Amino acid sequence: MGRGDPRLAEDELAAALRRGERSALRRFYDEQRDAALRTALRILGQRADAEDAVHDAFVALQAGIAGFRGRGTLAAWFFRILTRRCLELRRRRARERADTAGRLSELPGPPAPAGAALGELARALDAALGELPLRQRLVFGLTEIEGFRSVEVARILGLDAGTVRFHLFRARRALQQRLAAHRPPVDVVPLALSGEGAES
Amino acid sequence: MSREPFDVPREPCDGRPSDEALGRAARELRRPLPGPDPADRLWERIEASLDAPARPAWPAWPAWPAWIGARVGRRGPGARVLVPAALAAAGLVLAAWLAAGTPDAPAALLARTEAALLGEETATLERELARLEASLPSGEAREPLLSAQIARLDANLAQCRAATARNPLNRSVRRSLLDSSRRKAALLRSLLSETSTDEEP
Repeated sequence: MGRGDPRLAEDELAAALRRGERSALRRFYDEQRDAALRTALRILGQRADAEDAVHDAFVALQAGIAGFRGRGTLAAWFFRILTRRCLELRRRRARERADTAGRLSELPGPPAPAGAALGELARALDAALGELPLRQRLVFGLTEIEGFRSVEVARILGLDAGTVRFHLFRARRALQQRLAAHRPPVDVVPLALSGEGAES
Repeated sequence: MSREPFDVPREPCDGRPSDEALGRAARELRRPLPGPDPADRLWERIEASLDAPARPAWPAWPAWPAWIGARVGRRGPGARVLVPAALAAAGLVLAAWLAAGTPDAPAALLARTEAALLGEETATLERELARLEASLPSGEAREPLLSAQIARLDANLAQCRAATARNPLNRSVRRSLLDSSRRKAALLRSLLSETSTDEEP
């Protein structure tokens, strides 16, 4: 992951996790919690489901740390576990929703993002992301928001790196189109409000 | 520093944000999620799960029952239980069959059956012929009776052939019956011819 974690520190972290050191897991949890929750929420759409998936992923990480061979980063390995768990949960939820469509349709949708501190473009982007196909949404989210390199995203999602770049390109173009459609072009800022115009 | 709504570089003329602007906006989304202290609650859940006594693990199911189940229209636990159970039952039947004798046991059994049938048929045939010989009147009345007997045997032969065609699995046994019936008919025919010869002037 492109977070600048030194390789040595990660090896030490993995070794500590293998020894079952709870403090090591807590450190890793603190580092990855928000990105994990954002990614899970982007796939599942429901906060409770996202927390379930993140919980399961951290428990699975600790249980399966012996299987981590260090071929990629620990974070990429964790996100691979997480996305698989999310997709599994998403399939199950879709089945449940199909079974009890009437009741679940009354449930509230995904929680509104805390957009107060965000720029307008970021807020619009957050909304537009939800309209993308799942794979594009995931690739864009992992690459542009969470900062993974496309090779790592490929490993996380089990895709070819070229496919990841293709989805990223498609996602960018789709988002740019949507964001342009949502907002007036910059040229329509009314010039009459500027100081020179008011003088005459 | 406050951000102006459209204080981002855009592609000229069409109002679309550039890749760079999109990237900057995306990085703005890299922020903690809102909510009532989700981190500690989630961590408590994780810790509780890690500290929970390990449940006795189910044996890991191999993939092949699900694979076979999918091909015979069964999914989930049904496939995981039924497919191995069906295969185990088939295995037990095969083992029992193999234990009953050598692999050529059916052939040997068939041969024994054939021999018994032939022996029985031969003895029956001899008894019947002796009884027939004793009961047949002499002279002209002998021939129609023998002819009727031969006609009945021919009808039996036809029935045997039909049964053999219907049930090829028992072909060998049927064939032995057919052979014995055929021999019986041949003997009767020879008896008839002898009778005819006797009657000849």
